[in-house]
Amino acid sequence: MNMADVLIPFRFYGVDSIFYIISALIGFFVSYYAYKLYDVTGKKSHFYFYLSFILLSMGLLTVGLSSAYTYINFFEHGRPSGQDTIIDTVAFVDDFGYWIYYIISLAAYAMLAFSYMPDKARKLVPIMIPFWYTGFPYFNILSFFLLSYTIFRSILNYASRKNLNSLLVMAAFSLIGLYHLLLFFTSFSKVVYVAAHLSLILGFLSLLTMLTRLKK
Amino acid sequence: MNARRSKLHIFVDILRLINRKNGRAKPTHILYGANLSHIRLKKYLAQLLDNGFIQQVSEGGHSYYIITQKGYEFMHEFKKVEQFSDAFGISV
Repeated sequence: MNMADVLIPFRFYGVDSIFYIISALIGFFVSYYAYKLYDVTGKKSHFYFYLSFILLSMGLLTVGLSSAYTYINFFEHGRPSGQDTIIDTVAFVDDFGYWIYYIISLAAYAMLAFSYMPDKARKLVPIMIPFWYTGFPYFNILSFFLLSYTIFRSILNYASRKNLNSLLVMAAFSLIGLYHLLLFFTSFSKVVYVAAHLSLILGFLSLLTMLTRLKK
Repeated sequence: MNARRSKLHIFVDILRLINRKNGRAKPTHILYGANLSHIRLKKYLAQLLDNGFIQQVSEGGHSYYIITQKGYEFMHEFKKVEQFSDAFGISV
């Protein structure tokens, strides 16, 4: 996905970059707690969980910074008008940022699902790998597919615990899933792009709220 | 249930039990409260002592176990981690 493929409202230029960067910072905060969990238990699944949030945060930070760079250059140099070198460089940085984000976040979502799986089921995961390689044009659908298992598990967790923290996590994963689902339809309307990014930031803010509720 | 998990939970259960007794408990109180055999309790208490989470003191001819600062910090950390994992639905 880049600026040419999707409909982005002009006033939203750069706001999406800020949303990505804020989401990344919250993601790093989650991974800090996930590392503490791994440090206490030493369980492999907790290590995968920690790694998934580190990767996701790195992906979001990469796309946030690369898209911010694109917007800054866009506002500085305007629309393409013969300054091919600058436009090419900016387009390269933007595309590169998104590709890094695609690869890292798919790995992160797969690892997240992996960390939730029962030990025996983990052996089945390599079956999904060939699907990855053909799936890049449909990155958002693939991300939603990978995230759906985590969403399902978070719903089950909320159903059994019925507390605010598990509700916030369920809401967070569902909103991040919705973000990917909506992004698949951004070529139809500008509003969808805004709604998708609001869904993303609300998802991560939901995680932040949960973290701030943990006993000091 | 995985062995490491149960060990961790037993550690925390023992520490919480001592904490409920105002941070100081006799071995017999721990034995009844922790629902462990004498042999297993001795093993876990030795590990808690080795890790510096508890300390053995003698007072009035009686032996007590008290929670150290490190033990309180471990309990505090475990509580946060437990809440975090509960929220995500991943077992500790």
